[in-house]
Amino acid sequence: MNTLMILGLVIFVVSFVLISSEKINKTIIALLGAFLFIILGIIGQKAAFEEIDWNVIFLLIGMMVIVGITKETGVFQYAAIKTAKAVKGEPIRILILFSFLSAVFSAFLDNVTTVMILTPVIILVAVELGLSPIPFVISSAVASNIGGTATLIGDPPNIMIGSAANFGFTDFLVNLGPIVAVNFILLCLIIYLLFRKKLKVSIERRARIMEFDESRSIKDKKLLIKSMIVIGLVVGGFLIHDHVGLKPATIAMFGAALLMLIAGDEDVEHFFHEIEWGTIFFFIGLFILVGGLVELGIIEILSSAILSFTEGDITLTAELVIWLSGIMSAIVDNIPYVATMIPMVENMGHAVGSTAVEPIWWSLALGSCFGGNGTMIGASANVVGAGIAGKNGYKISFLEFTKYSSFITLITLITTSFYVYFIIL
Amino acid sequence: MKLSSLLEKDLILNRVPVKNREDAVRLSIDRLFDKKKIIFDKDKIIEEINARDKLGGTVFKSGLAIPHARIKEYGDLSIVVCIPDHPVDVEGQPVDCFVVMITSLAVSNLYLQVLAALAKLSNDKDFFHALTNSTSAEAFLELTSDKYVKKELTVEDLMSTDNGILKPEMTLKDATDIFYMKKTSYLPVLSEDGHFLGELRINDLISVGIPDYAKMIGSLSFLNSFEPFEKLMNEEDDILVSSVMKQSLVSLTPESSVVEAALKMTQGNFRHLPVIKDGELIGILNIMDILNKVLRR
Repeated sequence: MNTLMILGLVIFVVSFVLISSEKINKTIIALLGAFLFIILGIIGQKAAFEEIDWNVIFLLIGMMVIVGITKETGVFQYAAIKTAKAVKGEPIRILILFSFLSAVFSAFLDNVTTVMILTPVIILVAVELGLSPIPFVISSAVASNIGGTATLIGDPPNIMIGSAANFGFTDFLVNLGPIVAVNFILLCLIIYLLFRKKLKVSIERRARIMEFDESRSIKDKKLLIKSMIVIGLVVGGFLIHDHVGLKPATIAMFGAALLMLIAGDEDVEHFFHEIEWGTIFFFIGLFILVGGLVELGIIEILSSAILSFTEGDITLTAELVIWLSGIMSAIVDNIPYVATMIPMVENMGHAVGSTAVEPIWWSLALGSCFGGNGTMIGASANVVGAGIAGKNGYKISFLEFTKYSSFITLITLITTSFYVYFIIL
Repeated sequence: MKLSSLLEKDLILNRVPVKNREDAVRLSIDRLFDKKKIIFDKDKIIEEINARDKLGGTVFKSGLAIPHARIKEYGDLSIVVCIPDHPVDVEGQPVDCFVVMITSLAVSNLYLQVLAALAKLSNDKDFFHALTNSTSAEAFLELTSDKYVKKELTVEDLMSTDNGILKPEMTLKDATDIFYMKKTSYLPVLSEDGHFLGELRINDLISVGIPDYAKMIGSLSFLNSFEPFEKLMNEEDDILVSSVMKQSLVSLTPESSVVEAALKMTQGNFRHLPVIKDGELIGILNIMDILNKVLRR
């Protein structure tokens, strides 16, 4: 190792720790670290900018615009209330169906967006039922992390992995869908066993839920129809993008532009407010930072270390990646973790061949997405859900959240290990 | 600017026999037309003055009445003072002095300052008594010779100083009572020794009654039966003003111009702003003050 490598590694590790500690805004840290890399000559500006994966950036921007416009219509609240009424206010069924909604929504929306939309409605329903909202909030956050694993667009690690490994939307559904479904069913079973006896409410309370008029939560019917058409087109586009030679980012950005056009408001700034620029620039900074590590040769050293540890055995490497990713994601932010792992897996691909390395990619996706549930701070959706509950006077402690979520994570990682071993490999 | 330099000897009518407001206006306008070469339709001007009077707000408790009109093409500011020989009853208020003014829309700024100066002078009982008992135009001008019209109308001229106040250790129940009694939507919070600490708007008070999750949902139109104020009603004895009051991020100084105040209020959508000098609250500007004391005076 030369001095520049040590310096680069120190900057990277310090950035990584600061990002995970969330004491300072993570976007600022990522950008500072990235441009410090350029200033120190670790990576040239041209090479640094080429490291930015625009497929990821534009896929995120496109989806943020589409979701931002759609959520204004109130359709997500509509679905939640409709669900609560469909089971006649029966609390255990509501709990399970709200988890189901969280999983399905987050397969298509960002997990944090899902939790921010659903948690307030969930608390409202629980309060109206006279129940503590805490089991509802935890279940919803945990379910959103599980559901988000199923699709290319469900979770940022998947977006990055899909782009790097050239996996399409259907690849994710086919390879990850089944294990997500299994784990979700297990989640429901656990919820049922844990809370079945605790959730008893009077007829009068249940009648309150039936009084909700969900049709009035739709704020803009015309916009809703337009959004649904565009979302239909985008999902259709995702399903066939591989066959027509298009990348998901193109589908999402085209859908976003189309929806902005037909949404009828010509003030484009209004739509662009829906884009979380902090997240976008966080990714930009990370791509440069990780690009710098690749440039320094550190990634190559690490990936060959892993391969020599597992002696090139793909099965062992895959299982190692599942558990390493699971544990790391429970402790640190899984986005920078996956960003760092991607070039390492790419390197392994060079060593063992791109088909042979495929199970490692899926292991990385599954381990890092499911692992987020390991602790309350492992996934942003958990932090946000617990934060909303806390603001409403229902404080969820780190231990209380982690007690449930880590148990579920353990089970999901075990099933994943078997799934990868028996099905994927 | 000296008040006396806006007045003219010929346009001051001392101790004239006047039976009612109409008389005073007619007499004043006649004098104006006599002394000045005015090409406007006299009846039209009187009609405008009467129309403005119907809106109210032109008679003060001090005994001053200011019948006036703003006429678009009128290129000047004309002021006629008419002091009746005995107080005239206008809407139940004895009036000792009429100041009839005609102005164009363009020079309204000066005219507002004259109004503010006159209103202020009339509140000085001794001075106003001397003024209304002056026997000649010269004497009247002499009395006003050291009185000034401020160059700019400022917040100090518009603000009110008799507002209710809150203390940080009061409960929301106390605060709700004071809002109700004072019929206001804004109360400043002062410390025990009178320092300005912050403010409580009625919106913030009512907001306590709406749970956070409801605010996050954004629209509650799907709820037919919901008790929004449950929390407020249950806890109004326990929640202290200090926990819901807000820092005052936007404030005015007594020297702030009217346009500055109007800009701040319209941009921030404020109905009230505190007027602060050296960290002390000296008054509150209500947006209605701008309507009542600038736009329709």
